[in-house]
Amino acid sequence: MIQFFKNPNYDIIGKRKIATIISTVIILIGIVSILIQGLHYGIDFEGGTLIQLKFANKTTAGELRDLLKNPELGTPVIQKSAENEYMIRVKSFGTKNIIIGKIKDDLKDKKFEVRRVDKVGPKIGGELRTSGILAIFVSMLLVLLYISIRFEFKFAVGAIIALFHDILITLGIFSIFQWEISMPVLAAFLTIVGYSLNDTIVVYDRIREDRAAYRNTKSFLEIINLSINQSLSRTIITSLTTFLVVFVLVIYGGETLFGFAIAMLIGVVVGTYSSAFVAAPLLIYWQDKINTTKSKKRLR
Amino acid sequence: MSRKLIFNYVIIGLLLIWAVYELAPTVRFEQLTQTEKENLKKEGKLSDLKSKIIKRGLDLQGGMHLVLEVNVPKLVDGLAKNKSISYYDFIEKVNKKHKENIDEDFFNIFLQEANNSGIRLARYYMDRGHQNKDIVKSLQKEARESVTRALEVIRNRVDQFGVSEPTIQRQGNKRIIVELAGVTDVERARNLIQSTALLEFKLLKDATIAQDAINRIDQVIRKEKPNTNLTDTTTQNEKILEKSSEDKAVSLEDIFGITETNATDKSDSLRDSSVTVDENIVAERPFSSLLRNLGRIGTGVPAENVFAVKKILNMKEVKKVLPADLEILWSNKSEILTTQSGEAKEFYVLYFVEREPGLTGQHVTDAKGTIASMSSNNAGQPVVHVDMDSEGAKIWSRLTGANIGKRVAIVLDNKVQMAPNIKSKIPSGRTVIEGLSNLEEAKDMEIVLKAGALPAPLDIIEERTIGASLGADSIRKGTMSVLIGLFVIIIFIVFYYKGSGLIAFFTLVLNIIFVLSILAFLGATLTLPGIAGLVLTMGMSVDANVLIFERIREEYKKGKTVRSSVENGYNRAFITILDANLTTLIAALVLWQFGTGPIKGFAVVLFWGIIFNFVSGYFISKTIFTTITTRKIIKKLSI
Repeated sequence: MIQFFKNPNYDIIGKRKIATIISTVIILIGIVSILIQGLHYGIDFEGGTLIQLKFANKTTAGELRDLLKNPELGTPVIQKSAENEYMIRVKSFGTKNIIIGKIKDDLKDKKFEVRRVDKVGPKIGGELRTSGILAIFVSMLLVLLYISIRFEFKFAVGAIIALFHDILITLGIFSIFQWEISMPVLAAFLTIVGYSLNDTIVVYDRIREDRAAYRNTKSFLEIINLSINQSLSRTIITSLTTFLVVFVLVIYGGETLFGFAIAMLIGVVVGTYSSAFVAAPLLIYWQDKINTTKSKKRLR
Repeated sequence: MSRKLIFNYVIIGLLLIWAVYELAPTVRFEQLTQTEKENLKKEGKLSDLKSKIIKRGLDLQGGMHLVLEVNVPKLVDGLAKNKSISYYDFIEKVNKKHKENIDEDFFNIFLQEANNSGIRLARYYMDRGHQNKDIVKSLQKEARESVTRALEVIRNRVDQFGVSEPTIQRQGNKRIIVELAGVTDVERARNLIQSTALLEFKLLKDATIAQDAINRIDQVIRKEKPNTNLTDTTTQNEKILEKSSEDKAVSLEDIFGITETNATDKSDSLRDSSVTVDENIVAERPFSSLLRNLGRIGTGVPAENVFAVKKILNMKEVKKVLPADLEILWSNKSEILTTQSGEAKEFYVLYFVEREPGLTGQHVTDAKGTIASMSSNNAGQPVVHVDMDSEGAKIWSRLTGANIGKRVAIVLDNKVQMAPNIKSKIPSGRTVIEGLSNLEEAKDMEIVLKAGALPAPLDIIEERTIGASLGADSIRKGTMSVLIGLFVIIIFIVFYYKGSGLIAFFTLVLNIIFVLSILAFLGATLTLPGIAGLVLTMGMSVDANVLIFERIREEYKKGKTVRSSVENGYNRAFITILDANLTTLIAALVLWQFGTGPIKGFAVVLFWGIIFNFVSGYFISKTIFTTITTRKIIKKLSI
């Protein structure tokens, strides 16, 4: 039998203070970055025009930047998507082919094939953003409800905070590196919602089971630590396989899937960490708080 | 084997037969060569086969995705009659406010502004009620209904255009989504869908009335700019031009209006060049100096002046002085004419016509785009023959009979297609439209005239075109990602769990097969995000197995027998798998509900992935395990 952990018994709960500090710092850095440089929305959410061109001959991004001098294009964002293949993005959205025509005009000396044209009006972009955020919140609310029914309310709160934690960190990293937030990235975020919950539930499920078994012999703190350790193998193995599969997407998926894959990759890592170091310890903080208020009441 | 196990195998067997049945057409279709496809098409079996295979999204096969929205302000403006100066003031204010709060409902602003400025809407929308409130209600209804009718018209047009399996659906109150797979001529498809195709026959005004209108505009311009001289005019116009060139494409559209396809693009590229004016008269008659008399054709506008003339005609002050029943329309195309000095110049033509059409396209029963026969007087040219119903023929006969010698403009989408002289009374209702550049244009006009006019102007608010080669690339990359993912998983899981890992891998493959089968069964569409969903499903499937195996190992370590370890492991892991998968299922369902296009594609796959995860990752794997452990006494567990 191959095992990564033989009878693991780590003091994970004991490290909860350090974990809290690490998480808080990372989230704060992310929030500062979001406040200062904001998020880099793609045309899906901001509106604009994107054209993807494949050139017959060797072409560099610098060359394209020099060619695209038309003042009406503003500063086009040029991004390489494959060998001699580029995505050119402009902020303006023309219902007619004015923008596309101008780009084609500027590049008329080069031979290329138009592989993709996306034009999104500013209004629809804003709507997509709103409905995306709405989707995240609605799913959170429903999950809160589900966990409250299946477990307890405090478990639900713990799971949702862990979820916020994961999404905030991922968003923060996207802001720090100014990676583009497009439709697929939003899908990845929603998958992180599912994945993070999945991980948290597995640990919670174990806590629920152990609590019934050791109610009289072990303290709540000990039970939680035991449960995290018991589910450690599973957490690591599952995360590792998912990580490997998503890693393949990062390497092989190309520019179109990069945003999606990298968001998933971050989500898997952060989700695994948070299920052990955030979601479970949160139950203790909660318990402590109840105990202190109870004892205060008793003192009075 | 116990009775229960046999029952399980029957279910699994049925599931597998179903999966093979659902996937066989797709596999067969993939293996067909081009010639075999042609043969099937001739036999008429291709579309039948195609309806059974897994549909590919536009991102995988290439095509065009359009989201159209009814332009409510334009619709409402178009429905107004007897427009007066106070109406123009009012509608200008409404439009300005609407632009500032784009999220607020147009009709709210419209009603509020009407009440605030004491406008009696009944003056302009007579047959819609007396109270402002009632009129707005009626207009709202009109807008809603116009989407339904537009949907029908677009469906007719696309059907005749010959796109296989188009998706045309309504989204919300005022939007229409059109998806055309494999369309390559994007420009043509877009025009075909978006053109209003409003056909009108309008009599031209007498030359004296036209001249009078020009004089009045001249006076207005002089009054507005009293010290006009040649240089001033030029710079003034250039100022207009400069300002506009700073504007974004969106606001340009506002200046021009959406219906003006050709001229917009034309003047757009010319708008930073200077205008040409007639030096002799510019001081006295600044507007006239921008125009040229083209004799029998009418009033010409040199191409470089089009922008300035449009700007002037759109001025509120100008609209005020023109007679209410007069409308000034542009020609559909420019004409190259040789001036007296012998150089070729490009001109657009201005037509001064009756505002009320004598006859409209609603009476058209049939249209046919063709090349005119050799015997006719427009031999060899592309033309469209139009037939009208009896009422249309009656009106047409009366109109032509009463106006012999005059000119009538045939107007399509507010552009004058042609303005022939009426030589004699036309009793039959048959009419020939000329002035088309090629047969393709004639054919397209045939389609839009037959399908009928759009009840409201539509704006394109989202347009995505994916080339077929990019789609093929995505399929290759997606398939490759799935295969590499499978490879990584099998290596890892067999290394870690040995023989049990093989069973896990087998159920994982089954899971993917089942998801693809249900996609084929439901006629759902597989998109690139859908493939990503498939990859995620693989992850979830592995997770279920890992949860089970870890439990079995735990039980096994406690010293239990192989059989009871397996039994207990499955039972204990079930609760965990259920809770974990159901929460993800909730997230997937929300995505399905709120998501548009690509997100939906992802959610559908994820949803079914989770459902079949219970089937293959739990049920089938448990059946296999139980079979192995009960048939003979296994001392050691390969886990």
